[in-house]
Amino acid sequence: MGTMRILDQSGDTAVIWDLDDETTLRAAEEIFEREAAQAKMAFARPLGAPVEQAERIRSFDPTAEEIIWVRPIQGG
Amino acid sequence: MIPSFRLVENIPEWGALVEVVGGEHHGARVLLVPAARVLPRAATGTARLGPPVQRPRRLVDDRIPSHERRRAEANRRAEANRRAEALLRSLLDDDQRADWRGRRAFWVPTPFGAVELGRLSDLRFDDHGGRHLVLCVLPLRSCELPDADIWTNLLLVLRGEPRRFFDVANYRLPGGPWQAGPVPLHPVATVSG
Repeated sequence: MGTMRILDQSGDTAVIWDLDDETTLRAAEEIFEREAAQAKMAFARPLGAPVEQAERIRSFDPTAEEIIWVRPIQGG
Repeated sequence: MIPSFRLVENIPEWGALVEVVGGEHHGARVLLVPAARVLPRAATGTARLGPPVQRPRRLVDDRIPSHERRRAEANRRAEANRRAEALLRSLLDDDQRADWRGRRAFWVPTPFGAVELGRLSDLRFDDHGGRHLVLCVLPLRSCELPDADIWTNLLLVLRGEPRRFFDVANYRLPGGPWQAGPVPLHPVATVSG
Protein backbone atom coordinates (compact mmCIF):
# COMPACT_ATOMS: atom_id res chain seq x y z
CA MET A 1 0.00 0.00 0.00
CA GLY A 2 1.46 3.37 -1.01
CA THR A 3 0.29 6.94 -0.82
CA MET A 4 0.98 9.82 -3.18
CA ARG A 5 0.40 13.34 -1.85
CA ILE A 6 -0.05 16.18 -4.31
CA LEU A 7 0.17 19.64 -2.75
CA ASP A 8 -2.84 21.78 -3.64
CA GLN A 9 -5.37 24.19 -2.18
CA SER A 10 -6.89 21.44 -0.05
CA GLY A 11 -3.53 20.95 1.67
CA ASP A 12 -2.83 17.86 -0.38
CA THR A 13 -4.75 15.34 -2.40
CA ALA A 14 -3.88 11.76 -1.48
CA VAL A 15 -3.77 8.96 -4.04
CA ILE A 16 -3.53 5.47 -2.56
CA TRP A 17 -2.50 2.33 -4.42
CA ASP A 18 -2.28 -1.30 -3.51
CA LEU A 19 0.54 -3.48 -4.86
CA ASP A 20 -1.93 -6.35 -5.21
CA ASP A 21 -4.47 -4.28 -7.12
CA GLU A 22 -3.43 -3.71 -10.73
CA THR A 23 -6.13 -1.08 -11.27
CA THR A 24 -4.96 1.19 -8.46
CA LEU A 25 -1.36 0.62 -9.46
CA ARG A 26 -2.01 1.68 -13.04
CA ALA A 27 -4.01 4.71 -11.93
CA ALA A 28 -1.22 5.83 -9.59
CA GLU A 29 1.35 5.44 -12.35
CA GLU A 30 -0.76 7.54 -14.71
CA ILE A 31 -1.11 10.25 -12.10
CA PHE A 32 2.65 10.15 -11.54
CA GLU A 33 3.24 10.71 -15.26
CA ARG A 34 0.69 13.52 -15.34
CA GLU A 35 2.33 15.36 -12.45
CA ALA A 36 5.82 14.84 -13.88
CA ALA A 37 4.65 16.36 -17.17
CA GLN A 38 3.91 19.57 -15.24
CA ALA A 39 7.57 19.81 -14.20
CA LYS A 40 6.69 19.01 -10.61
CA MET A 41 9.21 17.18 -8.42
CA ALA A 42 8.53 13.90 -6.63
CA PHE A 43 10.12 12.79 -3.37
CA ALA A 44 9.76 9.35 -1.84
CA ARG A 45 10.09 8.66 1.89
CA PRO A 46 9.26 5.91 4.34
CA LEU A 47 5.79 6.71 5.64
CA GLY A 48 5.96 9.80 7.89
CA ALA A 49 9.80 9.94 7.89
CA PRO A 50 11.66 13.27 8.24
CA VAL A 51 13.03 15.08 5.23
CA GLU A 52 16.54 13.59 5.66
CA GLN A 53 15.09 10.28 4.50
CA ALA A 54 13.27 11.74 1.49
CA GLU A 55 14.79 10.98 -1.90
CA ARG A 56 14.14 12.67 -5.23
CA ILE A 57 12.60 10.16 -7.66
CA ARG A 58 12.00 10.55 -11.39
CA SER A 59 9.92 7.48 -12.15
CA PHE A 60 7.06 5.82 -10.35
CA ASP A 61 8.22 3.45 -7.64
CA PRO A 62 5.28 1.22 -6.65
CA THR A 63 7.18 0.03 -3.57
CA ALA A 64 7.51 3.56 -2.19
CA GLU A 65 5.54 4.01 1.01
CA GLU A 66 4.87 7.69 0.42
CA ILE A 67 5.49 10.01 -2.51
CA ILE A 68 5.15 13.79 -2.12
CA TRP A 69 4.76 15.98 -5.17
CA VAL A 70 5.95 19.59 -4.96
CA ARG A 71 5.68 22.38 -7.48
CA PRO A 72 8.43 23.95 -9.56
CA ILE A 73 9.93 27.01 -7.90
CA GLN A 74 10.72 30.53 -9.05
CA GLY A 75 12.35 33.65 -7.69
CA GLY A 76 9.84 35.79 -5.84
CA MET B 1 -64.80 20.30 -14.22
CA ILE B 2 -63.27 22.55 -16.85
CA PRO B 3 -60.08 24.04 -15.47
CA SER B 4 -59.40 27.73 -15.65
CA PHE B 5 -56.31 29.84 -15.07
CA ARG B 6 -55.49 32.29 -12.35
CA LEU B 7 -52.88 34.92 -13.29
CA VAL B 8 -49.88 34.75 -10.97
CA GLU B 9 -47.50 37.15 -12.70
CA ASN B 10 -47.04 38.94 -15.99
CA ILE B 11 -43.46 38.54 -17.14
CA PRO B 12 -42.55 41.20 -19.71
CA GLU B 13 -41.29 39.78 -23.01
CA TRP B 14 -41.92 36.24 -21.82
CA GLY B 15 -45.62 35.78 -21.17
CA ALA B 16 -47.82 35.09 -18.20
CA LEU B 17 -47.29 32.78 -15.28
CA VAL B 18 -50.65 31.26 -14.39
CA GLU B 19 -51.96 28.69 -11.96
CA VAL B 20 -54.36 25.98 -13.04
CA VAL B 21 -57.62 26.13 -11.08
CA GLY B 22 -59.70 22.94 -10.98
CA GLY B 23 -59.29 19.69 -12.84
CA GLU B 24 -56.59 17.06 -12.74
CA HIS B 25 -53.70 19.58 -12.59
CA HIS B 26 -55.23 21.92 -10.06
CA GLY B 27 -52.50 24.06 -8.48
CA ALA B 28 -49.88 23.51 -11.20
CA ARG B 29 -48.16 26.63 -12.50
CA VAL B 30 -47.64 27.11 -16.21
CA LEU B 31 -45.92 29.78 -18.25
CA LEU B 32 -48.11 30.90 -21.17
CA VAL B 33 -45.92 32.20 -23.96
CA PRO B 34 -47.30 34.09 -26.99
CA ALA B 35 -47.08 31.96 -30.11
CA ALA B 36 -45.14 34.66 -31.90
CA ARG B 37 -42.39 34.22 -29.40
CA VAL B 38 -41.86 30.51 -29.97
CA LEU B 39 -42.99 29.83 -33.55
CA PRO B 40 -40.84 30.54 -36.60
CA ARG B 41 -41.66 33.79 -38.39
CA ALA B 42 -42.99 31.90 -41.47
CA ALA B 43 -45.61 30.16 -39.37
CA THR B 44 -47.08 33.30 -37.92
CA GLY B 45 -46.25 36.05 -40.36
CA THR B 46 -45.08 38.18 -37.47
CA ALA B 47 -41.77 39.06 -35.99
CA ARG B 48 -40.71 37.85 -32.62
CA LEU B 49 -41.80 40.09 -29.81
CA GLY B 50 -38.23 41.00 -29.01
CA PRO B 51 -34.71 39.70 -28.96
CA PRO B 52 -34.16 36.62 -26.87
CA VAL B 53 -33.61 37.65 -23.30
CA GLN B 54 -30.10 36.92 -22.08
CA ARG B 55 -30.58 35.22 -18.76
CA PRO B 56 -28.00 36.28 -16.19
CA ARG B 57 -25.33 33.64 -15.65
CA ARG B 58 -25.08 32.30 -12.15
CA LEU B 59 -21.42 32.78 -11.19
CA VAL B 60 -22.02 31.77 -7.59
CA ASP B 61 -24.84 29.72 -6.25
CA ASP B 62 -26.84 32.56 -4.71
CA ARG B 63 -29.50 30.14 -3.58
CA ILE B 64 -27.12 29.39 -0.68
CA PRO B 65 -27.04 32.28 1.80
CA SER B 66 -23.76 34.19 1.75
CA HIS B 67 -23.00 33.55 5.42
CA GLU B 68 -23.22 29.80 4.76
CA ARG B 69 -20.89 30.13 1.78
CA ARG B 70 -18.42 32.06 3.94
CA ARG B 71 -18.62 29.45 6.68
CA ALA B 72 -18.07 26.62 4.18
CA GLU B 73 -15.05 28.42 2.73
CA ALA B 74 -13.64 29.04 6.22
CA ASN B 75 -14.08 25.35 7.05
CA ARG B 76 -12.37 24.36 3.79
CA ARG B 77 -9.41 26.63 4.53
CA ALA B 78 -9.13 25.39 8.12
CA GLU B 79 -9.06 21.78 6.95
CA ALA B 80 -6.47 22.60 4.26
CA ASN B 81 -4.28 24.35 6.84
CA ARG B 82 -4.60 21.40 9.20
CA ARG B 83 -3.51 18.93 6.51
CA ALA B 84 -0.63 21.13 5.37
CA GLU B 85 0.56 21.71 8.93
CA ALA B 86 0.54 17.97 9.68
CA LEU B 87 2.52 17.15 6.53
CA LEU B 88 5.14 19.83 7.24
CA ARG B 89 5.58 18.76 10.87
CA SER B 90 6.07 15.15 9.78
CA LEU B 91 9.03 16.21 7.63
CA LEU B 92 10.82 18.21 10.35
CA ASP B 93 13.31 16.86 12.86
CA ASP B 94 12.79 17.53 16.58
CA ASP B 95 14.76 20.81 16.66
CA GLN B 96 13.06 22.15 13.54
CA ARG B 97 9.65 21.16 14.86
CA ALA B 98 10.28 22.95 18.16
CA ASP B 99 11.44 26.03 16.23
CA TRP B 100 8.38 25.93 14.02
CA ARG B 101 6.10 25.58 17.01
CA GLY B 102 7.82 28.42 18.87
CA ARG B 103 8.43 31.03 16.18
CA ARG B 104 6.89 29.68 12.95
CA ALA B 105 10.31 29.41 11.25
CA PHE B 106 13.12 26.83 11.11
CA TRP B 107 16.61 26.41 9.66
CA VAL B 108 17.45 23.96 6.88
CA PRO B 109 21.07 22.86 6.31
CA THR B 110 22.25 22.67 2.68
CA PRO B 111 25.65 22.00 1.09
CA PHE B 112 25.98 25.77 0.60
CA GLY B 113 24.89 27.04 4.01
CA ALA B 114 21.71 27.24 6.09
CA VAL B 115 18.41 28.66 4.88
CA GLU B 116 15.69 29.80 7.24
CA LEU B 117 12.15 29.01 6.05
CA GLY B 118 9.04 30.61 7.54
CA ARG B 119 8.83 34.20 6.29
CA LEU B 120 7.62 34.80 2.77
CA SER B 121 10.02 36.83 0.61
CA ASP B 122 12.40 37.06 3.55
CA LEU B 123 14.40 33.83 3.69
CA ARG B 124 17.67 34.24 5.59
CA PHE B 125 20.67 32.49 4.10
CA ASP B 126 23.89 32.15 6.08
CA ASP B 127 26.57 30.68 3.83
CA HIS B 128 29.60 28.80 5.05
CA GLY B 129 31.82 31.81 4.43
CA GLY B 130 29.96 33.89 7.04
CA ARG B 131 28.01 35.88 4.46
CA HIS B 132 24.37 36.72 5.21
CA LEU B 133 21.86 37.13 2.38
CA VAL B 134 18.10 37.46 2.12
CA LEU B 135 16.41 35.24 -0.50
CA CYS B 136 13.03 35.10 -2.12
CA VAL B 137 11.83 31.81 -3.67
CA LEU B 138 8.27 30.59 -4.11
CA PRO B 139 6.50 27.56 -5.57
CA LEU B 140 4.55 28.26 -8.75
CA ARG B 141 1.02 29.55 -8.03
CA SER B 142 1.91 29.63 -4.35
CA CYS B 143 -1.14 31.74 -3.54
CA GLU B 144 -3.25 28.59 -4.02
CA LEU B 145 -1.39 26.75 -1.27
CA PRO B 146 -1.77 26.88 2.50
CA ASP B 147 1.34 28.52 4.03
CA ALA B 148 2.65 25.28 5.52
CA ASP B 149 2.57 23.68 2.04
CA ILE B 150 4.81 26.47 0.74
CA TRP B 151 7.42 25.53 3.35
CA THR B 152 7.02 21.81 2.63
CA ASN B 153 7.59 22.59 -1.04
CA LEU B 154 10.75 24.62 -0.41
CA LEU B 155 12.04 22.21 2.24
CA LEU B 156 11.90 19.26 -0.16
CA VAL B 157 13.51 21.21 -2.99
CA LEU B 158 16.33 22.24 -0.63
CA ARG B 159 16.71 18.59 0.31
CA GLY B 160 16.69 17.11 -3.19
CA GLU B 161 17.59 19.93 -5.58
CA PRO B 162 19.48 22.58 -3.56
CA ARG B 163 21.34 23.89 -6.59
CA ARG B 164 18.05 24.57 -8.35
CA PHE B 165 16.80 26.47 -5.30
CA PHE B 166 19.77 28.85 -5.37
CA ASP B 167 19.70 29.11 -9.17
CA VAL B 168 16.23 30.64 -9.23
CA ALA B 169 16.37 32.63 -5.98
CA ASN B 170 16.29 36.39 -6.02
CA TYR B 171 18.64 37.68 -3.35
CA ARG B 172 20.00 40.75 -1.61
CA LEU B 173 22.34 41.75 1.13
CA PRO B 174 20.42 42.84 4.24
CA GLY B 175 19.20 46.36 3.49
CA GLY B 176 20.47 46.17 -0.11
CA PRO B 177 18.66 46.03 -3.45
CA TRP B 178 17.24 42.79 -4.84
CA GLN B 179 19.24 40.95 -7.50
CA ALA B 180 18.13 38.15 -9.79
CA GLY B 181 19.55 34.66 -9.23
CA PRO B 182 21.53 32.56 -9.36
CA VAL B 183 22.93 33.23 -5.92
CA PRO B 184 26.75 33.09 -5.91
CA LEU B 185 27.63 30.00 -3.87
CA HIS B 186 30.66 28.60 -2.05
CA PRO B 187 30.11 24.93 -1.30
CA VAL B 188 32.39 23.93 1.54
CA ALA B 189 30.38 21.36 3.47
CA THR B 190 28.50 18.17 2.82
CA VAL B 191 25.09 17.61 4.32
CA SER B 192 24.62 14.04 5.46
CA GLY B 193 21.39 12.11 5.25
